Amino acid sequence: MTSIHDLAAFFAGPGAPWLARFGRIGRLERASIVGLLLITLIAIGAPWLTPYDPNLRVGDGYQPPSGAFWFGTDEIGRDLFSRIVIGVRYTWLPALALVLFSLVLGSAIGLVSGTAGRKTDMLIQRLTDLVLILPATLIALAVIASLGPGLANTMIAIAIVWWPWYARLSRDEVRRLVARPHVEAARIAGARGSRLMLRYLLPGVVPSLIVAATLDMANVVLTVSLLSFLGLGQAAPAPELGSMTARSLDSLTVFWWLPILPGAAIFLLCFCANLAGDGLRAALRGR
Amino acid sequence: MFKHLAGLVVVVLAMSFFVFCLQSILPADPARAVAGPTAPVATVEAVRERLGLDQPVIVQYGRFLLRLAKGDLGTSFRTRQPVTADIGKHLPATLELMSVAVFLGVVPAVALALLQASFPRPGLARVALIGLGSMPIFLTALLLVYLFWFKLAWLPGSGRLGLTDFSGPTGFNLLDGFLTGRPGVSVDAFAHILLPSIALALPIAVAIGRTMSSALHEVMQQAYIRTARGKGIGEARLVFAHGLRNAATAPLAMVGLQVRLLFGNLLIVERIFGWPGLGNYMVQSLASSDLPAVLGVSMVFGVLYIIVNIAVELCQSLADPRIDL
Repeated sequence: MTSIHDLAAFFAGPGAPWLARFGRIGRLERASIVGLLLITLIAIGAPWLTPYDPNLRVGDGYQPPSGAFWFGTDEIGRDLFSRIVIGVRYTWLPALALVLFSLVLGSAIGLVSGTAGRKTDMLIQRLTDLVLILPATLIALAVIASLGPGLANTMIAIAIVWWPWYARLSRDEVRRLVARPHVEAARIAGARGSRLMLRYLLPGVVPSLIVAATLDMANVVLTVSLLSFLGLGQAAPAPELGSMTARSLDSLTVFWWLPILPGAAIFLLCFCANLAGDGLRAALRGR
Repeated sequence: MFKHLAGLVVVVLAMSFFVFCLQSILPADPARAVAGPTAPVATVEAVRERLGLDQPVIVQYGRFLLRLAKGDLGTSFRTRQPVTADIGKHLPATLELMSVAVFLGVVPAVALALLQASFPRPGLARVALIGLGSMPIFLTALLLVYLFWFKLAWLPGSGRLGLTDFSGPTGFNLLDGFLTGRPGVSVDAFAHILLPSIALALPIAVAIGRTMSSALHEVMQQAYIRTARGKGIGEARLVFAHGLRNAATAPLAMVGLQVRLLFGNLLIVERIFGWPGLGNYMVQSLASSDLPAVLGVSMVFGVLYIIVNIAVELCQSLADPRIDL
């Protein structure tokens, strides 16, 4: 009944000395967490940080990377570095919001599905299936097309297909946990409903979910760039990492920096996110 | 088993309806696309009537279902061919690519996870693995093409086969070469499939390897393993005979998730490598808002995904009898 109390016990209780565990994170992983914070700050301040206007012609086209243009210029002479910094902003910040949304919604649904009776579980799982089987890119295209192009609509499109992953994962974890003796004991002792979920199941599910969510940051970034590559992201003049690569595919063997560097920026973002996720996994689970 | 098949039908119906409704609110006008950008309005209206696009959405959907029951997915606006024929033409290439990619993804992943559980993990290898998992699929594909086709000229960078006139009984070139007594064709097909399937396999291998090794790690700390270790059983036997089966649930679920990611990646990899499969067909259909083709391909992907997931659930309950179907 006292679900607030249960939550407090979960975060501060003797079973989860979280702060002490952060000492276990390796040096590289700590650096990547700092790197992520830095990227987040750069993403927030991007409009004031770019050396050139990302949408204006500032030099000749197809210039290789140099002191004046760090990443070179694109086919119509725009500064590639400025465009990539802005592209990172419009990839990273939405990805953060998306994962948080999916984590909360999905784990709540998964907990209910895993503890409820057979019929409810079946119903929720088929509903999740329904969303999971719809090819993400197609739904995204349809949603964007019906709402009109734009960043917010891309995010809505991804959110629709994203939360079921968390529902499925937490439900699978719950089913695994329910078979464990300590949950059986809690049930026999009379724990029911929200108390059983929050006190005995959630602590077992949360580490996996947090690890999954931090590692999932990279997946969201990759999906955003995939949609952008297919031309389903922001409209053309906006600097998007995926579409920058897609437009310059044919330049690969001549002007390699045009398709490669936007992809490399996505790689760097995902690499930091994945290392940070791995560090958190070490902290939350122990090695 | 019957329950699963019934569920499959229900899900396919619901999916087709959802996709159909979403597609019907697309602002792009398929009748205009078929008639051509310069055609007069009267021609466009005639085309609209001929294709049944002037009917209400629900009527269009009803017609679609009736035809579906007869195995008819309609006619593609773009290629003017029956969608079933188009899909039949492109499906073997995609199935071949997917199977090779999943195989190249799962086998090394499981092997690596087992190695990691039996021996202390080398830190550098772990970071390299994380790095591989962070590559956007088009960067992997481009780097592979750049290195192995452009720089080294070891492997072909696009297409499915060097020959243009070859067609075998199964549509799977890897098999057909041997079946028709031309092993050279199989070798050529293998050379062509290697780069795109490696690009697709990398994210699968990393995801499954990581899930597997974390699941194994957790299982190996449980009391029954400690008991077994106390009885004097060797580490390798502990992992294989005692740990592996209990650690299988999470990686199996990951296979299901990865197959869905694979559909998105297929579009990009097939586009970059010019692979004549469903992904490439889908990209072109999306670009020309070819409703029947897009709907048909999504149905095929949806059915494939459900089949894989039923198989995953079966394997999960085989590995862990406490999970009932």
